[in-house]
Amino acid sequence: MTGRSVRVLVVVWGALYIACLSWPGLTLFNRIEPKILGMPFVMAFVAGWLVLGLLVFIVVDRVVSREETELGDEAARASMPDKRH
Amino acid sequence: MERWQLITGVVLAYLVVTLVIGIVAGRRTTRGVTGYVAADRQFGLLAMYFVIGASVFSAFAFLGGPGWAYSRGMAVLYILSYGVIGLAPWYFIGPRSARLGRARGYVTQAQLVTGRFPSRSLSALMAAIAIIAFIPYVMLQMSGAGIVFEAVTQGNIPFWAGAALAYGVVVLYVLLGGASAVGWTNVFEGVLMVVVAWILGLWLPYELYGGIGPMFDQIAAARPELLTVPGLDSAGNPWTWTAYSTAFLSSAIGLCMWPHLFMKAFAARDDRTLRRTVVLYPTFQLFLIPLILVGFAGVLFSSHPENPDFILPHVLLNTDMPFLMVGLFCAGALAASMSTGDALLHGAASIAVEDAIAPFVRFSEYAQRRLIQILVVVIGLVAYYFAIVMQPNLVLLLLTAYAFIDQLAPPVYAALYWKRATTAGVLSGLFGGMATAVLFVLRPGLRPLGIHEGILGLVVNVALLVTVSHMTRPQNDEHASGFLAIARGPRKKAPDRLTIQDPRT
Repeated sequence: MTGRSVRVLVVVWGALYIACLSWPGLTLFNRIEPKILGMPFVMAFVAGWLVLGLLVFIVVDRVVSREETELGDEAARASMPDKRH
Repeated sequence: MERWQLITGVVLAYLVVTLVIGIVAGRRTTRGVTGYVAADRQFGLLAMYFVIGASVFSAFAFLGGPGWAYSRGMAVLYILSYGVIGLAPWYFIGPRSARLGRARGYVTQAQLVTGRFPSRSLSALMAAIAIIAFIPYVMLQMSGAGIVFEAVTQGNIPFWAGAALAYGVVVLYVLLGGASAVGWTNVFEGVLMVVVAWILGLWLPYELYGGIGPMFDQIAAARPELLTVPGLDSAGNPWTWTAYSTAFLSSAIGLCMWPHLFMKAFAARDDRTLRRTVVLYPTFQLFLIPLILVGFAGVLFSSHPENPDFILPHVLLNTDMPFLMVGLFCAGALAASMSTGDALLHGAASIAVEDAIAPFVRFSEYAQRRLIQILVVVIGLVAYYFAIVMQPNLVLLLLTAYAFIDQLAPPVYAALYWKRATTAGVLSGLFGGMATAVLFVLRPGLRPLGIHEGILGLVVNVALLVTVSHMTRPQNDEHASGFLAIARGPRKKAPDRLTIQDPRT
């Protein structure tokens, strides 16, 4: 995954989040049954999106951090003295 | 000893520990403005996680959250929903702001925006918006503290004394310790409020109904209208999808724009810490769930409080609980209030000096720091006076505060991302957006389709920003490009295909 596609992932997740957790998307999941962990379905549904958010950002952060490290290595190499002379 | 005295003992112990942590933490920073306002840009993940989490969740979450579940049912889900999506943009704009902060010495949101759009009026306007939104928010926290004390001591410690005790401690550690005190007390307060919420929220449904599922089964049988979105409004009538959705949207847009949260980007040690704070934030947000369960536990409870916001203390005091638990709950509620109140007082004073006074009057860093400290006390006293004397409908004031905070979004995003934006565009947008928001706050009946006044303000704000920016001369290219380049940070360069590779390397 690249830094670019990560931004796309976040935007897609964000758009789905807003669509599903307010009108009109939420109307489709607006039920009491089946209960999940004792909670009415609609409440568990919202909680589920929070957990998904955590997972999405863990993945995103892995990619962004890796890119940051690579850029740091690149910058370090670029500033190393030229050993050819 | 009487029960209320034992409970108060537990709470006093909590207050003493908090005060000590705040004072000790404050000792470690430097004497200037960067030390007092941004903790020398040294906050690690632990401090950042709790500073953000505990500052976001206030007395509104601890008392108002259950209160909404109890009286308005699943309308409360919008509060559960908006946090994560609201903080998500900070994953990107936090590090952008922090880079600029390190490069240019910014410690407030307005310094960042006027760094790109130089204008003292803009700085003063942003400061005014922040303080107008902060004061009722602090008043609400002080009220919450006072009411919790009065409820759990059955009036032996009256409202005004409880608020004074809790906020006397806050003013003292903010005064002496600045941002560092706010950070470390928030770690302690944050742990306490999360632990207390989970214990209460899991215990109470089992104690009263035999479990979470059984509790909702009984509510579904007696009052099913509480268990689907959008739930009820404050009068007990069905709430509308429009109101629910625009409250959600307005809060999501405004959340990371709150100046006291936004400026914590300048306190973080590095970008990685900022990003990880956002990544982990949902784990904090989840603690609203047990609080919501406590609110629902009150629906079929044998007795009911006068004010739905006090369902949590009401249920606790009328259930057989050991004094230690009641004391810890009280400490948890105070922690929720104080961990927001301290950031607000610290933020309000810092912003008043850095953004409304310093741009117009020259004085030394040391004098600035002193003035911020003085204002912490002054603002604290003013807010306390109004909280005690006026006791106005604060929840209403808070919801309208979001309408004003939302207007800060276009200037911030324009500063960080849009090259063609101009100072005139940003100023016009902000004025227009604020005027619109104020109009619809004062005349809610005029709102088309009942749309939240923050959203209506944003429509005008963005329209003016875009139009006026295009109608005015573009900013100096070097200035705008330079600013955006710092914000963007290091980027992967495209491979340069024209150089001849040295065969020896």
